[in-house]
Amino acid sequence: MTHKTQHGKIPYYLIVIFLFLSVTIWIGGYLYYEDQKKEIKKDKLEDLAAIADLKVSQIANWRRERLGDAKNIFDNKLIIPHIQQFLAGSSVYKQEVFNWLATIQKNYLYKNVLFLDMEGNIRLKVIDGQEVIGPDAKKLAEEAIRSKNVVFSDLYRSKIKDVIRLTLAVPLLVSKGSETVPIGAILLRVDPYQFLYPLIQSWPTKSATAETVLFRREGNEVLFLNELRHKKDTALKLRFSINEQRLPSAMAIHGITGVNEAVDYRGVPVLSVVQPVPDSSWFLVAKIDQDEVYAPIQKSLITVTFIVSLLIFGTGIAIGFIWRHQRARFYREKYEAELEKRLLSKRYEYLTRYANDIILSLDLDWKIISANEKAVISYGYTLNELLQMNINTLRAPEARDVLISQMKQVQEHEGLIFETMHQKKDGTKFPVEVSSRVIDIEGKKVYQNIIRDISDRKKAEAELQESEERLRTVIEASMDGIIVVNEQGKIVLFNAAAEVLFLYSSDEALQKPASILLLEEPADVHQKRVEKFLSNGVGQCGHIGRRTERTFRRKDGSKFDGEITMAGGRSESTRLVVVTIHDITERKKAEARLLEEKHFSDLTINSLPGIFYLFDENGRFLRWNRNLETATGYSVEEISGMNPIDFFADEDKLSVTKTIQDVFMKGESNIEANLVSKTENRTPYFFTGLRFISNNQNYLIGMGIDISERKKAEDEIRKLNEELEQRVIQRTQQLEDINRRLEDEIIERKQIEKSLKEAEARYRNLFEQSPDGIVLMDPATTLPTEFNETAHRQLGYSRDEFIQMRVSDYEAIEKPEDTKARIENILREGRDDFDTRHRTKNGEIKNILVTVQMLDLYGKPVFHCIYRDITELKQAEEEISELNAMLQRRALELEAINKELEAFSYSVSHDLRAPLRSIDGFSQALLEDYFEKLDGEGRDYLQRIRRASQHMGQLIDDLLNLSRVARNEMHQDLVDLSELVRTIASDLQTARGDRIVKFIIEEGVMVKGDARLLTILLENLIGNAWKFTGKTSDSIIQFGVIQYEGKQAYFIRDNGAGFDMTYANKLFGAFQRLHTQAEFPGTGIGLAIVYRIVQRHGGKVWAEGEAGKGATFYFTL
Amino acid sequence: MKDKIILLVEDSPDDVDLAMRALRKNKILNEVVVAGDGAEALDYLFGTGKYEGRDMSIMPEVILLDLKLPKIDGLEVLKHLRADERTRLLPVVILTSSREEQDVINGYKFGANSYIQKPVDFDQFMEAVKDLGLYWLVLNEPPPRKM
Repeated sequence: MTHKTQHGKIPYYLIVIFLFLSVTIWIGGYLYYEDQKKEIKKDKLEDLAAIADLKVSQIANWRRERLGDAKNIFDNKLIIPHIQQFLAGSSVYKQEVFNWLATIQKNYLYKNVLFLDMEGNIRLKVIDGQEVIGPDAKKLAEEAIRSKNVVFSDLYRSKIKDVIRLTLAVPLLVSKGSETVPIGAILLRVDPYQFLYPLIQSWPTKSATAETVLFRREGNEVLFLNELRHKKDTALKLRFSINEQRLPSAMAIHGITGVNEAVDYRGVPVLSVVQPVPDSSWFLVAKIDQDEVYAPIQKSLITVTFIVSLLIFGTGIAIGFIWRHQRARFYREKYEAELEKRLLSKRYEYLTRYANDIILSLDLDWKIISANEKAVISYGYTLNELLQMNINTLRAPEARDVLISQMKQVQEHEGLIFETMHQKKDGTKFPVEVSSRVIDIEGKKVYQNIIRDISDRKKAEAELQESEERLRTVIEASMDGIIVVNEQGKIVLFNAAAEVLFLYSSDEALQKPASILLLEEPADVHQKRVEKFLSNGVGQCGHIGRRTERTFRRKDGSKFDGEITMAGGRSESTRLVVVTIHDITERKKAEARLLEEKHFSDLTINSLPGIFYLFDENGRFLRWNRNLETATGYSVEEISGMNPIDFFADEDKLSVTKTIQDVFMKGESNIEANLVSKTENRTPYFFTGLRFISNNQNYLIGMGIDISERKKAEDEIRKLNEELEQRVIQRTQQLEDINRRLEDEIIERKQIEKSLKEAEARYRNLFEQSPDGIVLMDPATTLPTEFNETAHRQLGYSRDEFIQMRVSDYEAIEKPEDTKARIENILREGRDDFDTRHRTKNGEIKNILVTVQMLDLYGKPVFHCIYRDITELKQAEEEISELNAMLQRRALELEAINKELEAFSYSVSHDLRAPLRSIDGFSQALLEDYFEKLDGEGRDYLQRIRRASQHMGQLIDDLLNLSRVARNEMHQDLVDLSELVRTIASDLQTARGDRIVKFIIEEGVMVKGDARLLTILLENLIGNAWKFTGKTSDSIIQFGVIQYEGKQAYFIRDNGAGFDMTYANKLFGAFQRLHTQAEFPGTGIGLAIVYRIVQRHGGKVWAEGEAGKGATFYFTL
Repeated sequence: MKDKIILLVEDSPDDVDLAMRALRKNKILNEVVVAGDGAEALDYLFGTGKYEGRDMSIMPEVILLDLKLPKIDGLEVLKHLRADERTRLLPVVILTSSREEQDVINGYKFGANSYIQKPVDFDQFMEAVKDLGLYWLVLNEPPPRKM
């Protein structure tokens, strides 16, 4: 950016950009507008052309249809005879023809249809409204008849009626030979307002000005045929000259068809399309006002203009903004530069004033022109004094001579650093380092001198040199070789001792790689080692490394062992390794000798036949031989941690400890003990021990020898002796045993013999005395080998007879082959039981139960058969089964009787009561209905009848209850009698609230019995008690339990009427009563029921009482 | 109460008279239809036999049924009634001389609504009929009629 564009004016290039953009936008907008315009116009014209085409084709179609109608009539030959008939005067045919014409008019929508004869008279007309034929129509008819063809008129205005019509004239022809003769014509008249004009006027799209116009040429004029959109009443009236060049219709006449810009009948510019209607003199114009067409274009123009203006305005603003932004940046940068400059000068001032160095500016004559504070302090002059001085006067006198040459050099090199001596005001000299530079300050050349007091540095340098000297002396005086190696592994220091060790002179060694001093260490390996040492932290400054031993090489190639120590060091720039080497050749030799001696003693110890050991007073093993390890199985490490005592079993430990103590006390001892190995093996050993003193320490040194062989020999001898003794004892014992056993056997045998004899006797007794026949039988022959008395007796044979009898001789039902099969079966199975029958000697048949057991006697099978005579048993069984059958029959009979009884009871219950009811009921009826007619006696009789019948009813009920009690099945339950009594008592008290009776009821009386029956029992007893206390004041009824003959007896006691004990035996009979009905009503069944219930429970019932003193009824269950 | 019919099924003319008397005496003046045996009772209830064509929309309010009947006994009649949809819900009171437990159990088992034993004492009978009339003709809410 140059200075020229900085002051306010908009830069030229921005204006150019703005203009360029504006023009581009304008051109773009214009082109877009033009394109739009063309597009819209094209669209509209295409629409127009399409609509024109459509209309033309519609009109042409319509015309063709009309001609088609006419042609149909023309071709209709069938109607001709009818018309002829009609013309001849037939009114029938007139009607028919009329109908035909009416059909045409109606179907094809003609305004009217007329039939004209040859004379042109209207003979028939079908009209829609009034219709008169004018000259035009007549002329048309004539023309049609003449041409013998259909004539289609143009649109014309009727001369009679002022209406527009279009007429088709159809000639009617009759064939006469080869010729045709007309007989009349039919006129089809069309009202264009009906269809044609609406068709033309309708516009398929929405438009304010578009229309179609139909016209034809008449002479030199154009005649508009239809009604116009913008002008009324124009059909066949509006005319224009064909010379109106810009009129679309006129243009059409001149052959200009297609799309045109024109002016219409109103003088308004339009777009129009003109098309001729085929097969007619008509032309059709479709037109639309240009204003309507271009209206959207206009709108588009406004839009484009607006957008373009907006864009240009936007561009202007954008460019203005860019310009402003740039200007702002320029000022900011300028301001910042200024600020920086000021800051710099301030900093410079500060720097010079407070700098630690003296800063002096000189002119070319070396005169001081400026000085800082440090200068004033350093030299001791005031600032004003300094500003009067030449630099040379500040120099020490001896340094002044070289000033000129130095300043020349400064000028030549434009700057120089040099050292010289300066002098303070008080004459003190001090060394300085001057950095002098020639600079250009506002066109003037100035020496800028920065002067540093270097007296401290000089002093330090001197001290350092001294220290180095001291160090060097130390290094050189050292007995050990000292070598310093730098980072590259090069030797940088090599002291005198090193020279002696390695035979290199210092000069030879310096800058050589240190690896030359080492055996088998290539330079690169060593280099890496040095780097590693320096980098891994071990080599840090001041760190002293571990002592290590290494083998070194001298200049002459000989080797020596040395101990080496390395430390990290640092000079100004590089890190160093300080290596100290100590010759250890002599020490090595001594060590080797010691090792040899140790080896020798080890060999000696290991070669000893037994185990060797050396331990101190604490029992810590110091030396031992391999035998100890092998004998005990412990490893070196284990032994070194063990105590000598650990090698002994518990029982030996005490004596071993004592022996060890003896050694330490007396100097010598020994012991025999078992050495226990790690695996718990014990081996007898003989251990020796000698005291050995070293460094005032007591040690025990000794050996152990395996004495197991000896021990074994001793043991064996002892064992043999023992064995011998044992055997003698054993033998003695055996002999004693045998004697004893013999005695026992003798006793046992005697006992067996005795018991055998007893068993034999027992069996024999059993055998002989048995009520069953016992036969020992040879199964092969079935002959008995031995048998008892019963065996032959029960069959009636003598012993001598039976001994010769086979089974088949007395077997009564089995056939011999059955017997044989049975015998074989027994031989297989070992035993058998079966029933059979035997025949006695006198032919009697006996039932025999046979039990056979096979025995093995002296290796031969023998059958031990028991024959039991069960004839009587069988008979008894039969009798029993007969008795059973009889019992069953009885039971069935009883059941039947019971059933009958039930039926009887039922019948009694139902049928016996019915008549009683009648008796009672009608007696009552009599009493009620005939009360007046009966005297007192009659009524009394009736009352008696009633009472009697009611009593009988009661009797029947009680009897039925009694029988029911006897019949019903029993169910044994646990029954709470106390509870039952309480319930019955409370029922009675509820029913008879007028009576006060005290009940004393023993609680918790439980019995086993039928709950229903026991309820009835108690109801009867308590009911009786209630009844018979009816005449007693303070009535008491008690229920309780007493012991009677070891059983529980329950009782109901009352303090009522009681009874005379004389009749006690009659109490429980049915219908037995001790009181009159008048005294106490009743049937005498109640106690019979009680008796029956107690009986059914297997108990007893009895009563105690005294007339007038109450009664007690007891029962057991 | 007038339009509520009582059907009395009873073979004994004496019992019929006594029952009628008991009803009248108790001011139960409903129409009483008497069927002399079980078959007749069923004919009446199902409009068959003698009662063919009877207006079946009229059904007795309560049936007093004796058990021991000629031709078809009371329990049979009861079984028929309970098996048929038309009579299933009609209240049936067994009115019989029998006090046999089996009869009572069967009566209830086959769906009787009450069981009354005819006592010999006419006074007691009157009481029973009075209670019966009160309960079945006045207090009881009959099942809704379908016909």
